[in-house]
Amino acid sequence: MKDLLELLTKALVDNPEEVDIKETVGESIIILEIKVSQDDVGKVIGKEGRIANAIRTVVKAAAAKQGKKVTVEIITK
Amino acid sequence: MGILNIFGNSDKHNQVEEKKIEDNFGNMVDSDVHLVAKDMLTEILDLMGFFNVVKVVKYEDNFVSLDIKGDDMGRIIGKEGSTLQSLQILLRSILSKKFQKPINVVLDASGYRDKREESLVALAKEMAEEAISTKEVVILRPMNSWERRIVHLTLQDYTEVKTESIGQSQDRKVVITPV
Repeated sequence: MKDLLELLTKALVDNPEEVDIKETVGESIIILEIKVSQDDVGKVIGKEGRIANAIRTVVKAAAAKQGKKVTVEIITK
Repeated sequence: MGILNIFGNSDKHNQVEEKKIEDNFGNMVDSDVHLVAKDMLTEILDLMGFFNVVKVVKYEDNFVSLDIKGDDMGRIIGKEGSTLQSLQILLRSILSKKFQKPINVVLDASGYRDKREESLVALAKEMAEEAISTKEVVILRPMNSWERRIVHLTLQDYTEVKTESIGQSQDRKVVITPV
């Protein structure tokens, strides 16, 4: 799940080297935290949250295949 | 990667690798948008745990349409096409950034869009008939721009109703008004 999120986030931002993803795996839930450069926050959120919602939907579909739930949080450095 | 080899996909992967050219800023300067798009989508699906085959259906300078085939189609499409739509939004954004120009991407999965279009056309006609017979306004559920467009186009020749979209972003829906 972390690899997927890393691929998507790095491809969306201007400063891929500053992308940091933390994954906490619980029994039935995975928590993913994306840290990006301040300048890139808009890139991963998008107009009216369109990009952030799309990221969540895609990651959720992947997690559902493993029978898990997932939350994705976006954090500014 | 054995599964992909059956479909001869690995050869195509290599072709894409060879054609990728980056400028000094690491941005793509190549015009092979469709190959990069196919490669990127295949990689995303792989990481999602779906081992599917991505085919380029059509491409122009700033446009590429891709079709996904294989297992897990239900999950890849998602509820009312939400996952397919999300992949499309992300690919558009990723490719537009890579090539530094707006690139339109349309994704389909095993002919899902054709089937969806058929059912939207049927729904639009049915709801227009209802608006005409009851003389009341019919408001459809929130739809994305592609779905709304199909409804508007279907009903543009219906002289007894007019259609318009109301609401903001995710909540935008088509209203059918009898005239």
